[in-house]
Amino acid sequence: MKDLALCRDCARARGVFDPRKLSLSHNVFPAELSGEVEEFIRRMLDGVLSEGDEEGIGEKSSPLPDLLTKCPTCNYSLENYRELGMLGCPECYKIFASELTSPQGSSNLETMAHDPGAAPDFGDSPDMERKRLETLLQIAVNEENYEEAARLRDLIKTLPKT
Amino acid sequence: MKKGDFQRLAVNPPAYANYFGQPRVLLGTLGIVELNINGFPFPGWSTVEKSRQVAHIILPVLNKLKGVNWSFQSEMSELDSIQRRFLLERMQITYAMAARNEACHVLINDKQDMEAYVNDEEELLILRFFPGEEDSISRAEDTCRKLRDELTELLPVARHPKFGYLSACPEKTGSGLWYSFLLHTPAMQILNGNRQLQTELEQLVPMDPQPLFPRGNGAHAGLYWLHTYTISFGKAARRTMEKLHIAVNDIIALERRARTRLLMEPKKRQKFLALLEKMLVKTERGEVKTFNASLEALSALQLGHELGLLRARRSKASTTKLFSAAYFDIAPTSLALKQKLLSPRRRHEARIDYLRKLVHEKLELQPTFRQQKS
Ligand SMILES: [Zn+2]
Ligand SMILES: [Zn+2]
Repeated sequence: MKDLALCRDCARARGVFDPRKLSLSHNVFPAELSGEVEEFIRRMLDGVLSEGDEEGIGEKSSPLPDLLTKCPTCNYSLENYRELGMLGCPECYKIFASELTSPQGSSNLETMAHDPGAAPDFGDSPDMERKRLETLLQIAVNEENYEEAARLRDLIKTLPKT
Repeated sequence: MKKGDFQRLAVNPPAYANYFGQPRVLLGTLGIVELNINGFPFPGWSTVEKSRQVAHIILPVLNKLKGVNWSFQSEMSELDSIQRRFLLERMQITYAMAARNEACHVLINDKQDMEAYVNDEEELLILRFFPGEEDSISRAEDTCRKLRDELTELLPVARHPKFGYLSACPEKTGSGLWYSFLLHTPAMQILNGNRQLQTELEQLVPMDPQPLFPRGNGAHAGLYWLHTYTISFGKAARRTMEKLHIAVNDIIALERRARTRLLMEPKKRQKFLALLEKMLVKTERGEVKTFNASLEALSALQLGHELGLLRARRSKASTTKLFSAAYFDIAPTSLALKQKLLSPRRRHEARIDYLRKLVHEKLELQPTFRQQKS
């Protein structure tokens, strides 16, 4: 359930959507340098990404992998991803693909990468029904609805022990 | 770039508001399509120049969508602070959007049941409201999936063979669709209290319940948007939706039962009757001033009427309509825009006046039960 953690809110809590802090590339490099850095990276990568191949980097660009810790389209870095849990542009998904599907990456993405039909962790644990009934029981108790509370308590008792 | 008259928006409530006065628990479902464009940074990291380019790609496509008549369209920079707050209060822009200016656009259709944001938290967000308790969820699913597919054909949409539709947060990649539910749970609120209710809802649903009116954490009359995302595709998205159905149905069942108990159980009923009497007296004496207190009064009186504990001078349909309108008419920026009431004190006065007229003149709400001496 934590994995579903409501991106906007977690992002907001981290100030990502604060418009005053918006342009990450400007935070990463001093403003007066960012243009140059961007230009440099773009030149280095020219021809590697411009064909827009689905496979992304890696194969064609063996002498360059170190540079690819930054996304040429948006200047986003792997550190940014690790820190914020967010990506800068669609291109980032190609560039940081190995990170995203690694065990350190998001578990959801890993699951889906191997099996697009797999369910995300959306309370699919065997405890889900128990948890749901316990919450309903709590509400019934709060409302002094003891008849319903008794019914729910009995239902919970019938669930298989985990 | 600006199209349409803001004042026209101000006098007509958004579509979902028309359903506030309904006895339903699930007032409707908001279906949302969120897409990004290939080759550009996500809006959070973009430059104004790149966001402009994105807008130039998206806006012509939006304006050509079949069957959609955008009657209001504006760049955020063209809206002043009251207009922004007004749209925010009506849930017609997001907080992020309210803070933006150049290259960010908001479009609203003629019926005000559909909005599009360009360069909000995603490059394109389309929101559409589907009223009703019975089938609003499935209608939202169908319509939004079709709209997403249509846009995918018309725009260079960012998709990945493994992750599906891409967004800035990797946990949100997948179907490009998500859903929110507008719920009215006044009886649960009366039985449980606001904070307790919110805590329980959070437990029950793997979602994020938010008070409808973004007005801090005070009372909100049991009006909630439940927000969620679908985060994957294929079978997983279906299963996610199944879970949402269960969660929403749980809440509907809880609220219906709470309403029955307020009516049928002597002690609860007594408590509710006392609350209704108090609300009638307070609205008459002008003691309900703030927006939140007014929402709570409206919500309780509406429920009392639905449960037959209060009778109105008008037909059921006309009463429902008046209640629906009231939730919006008393909102701060609604009063500020429509009546040019710019100080809180003058808005309090206007609200007192509005509630007194509504409850005691237009509706003439009267208890159907014998008056209790306390
Ligand atoms: Zn997130
Ligand atoms: Zn990038």
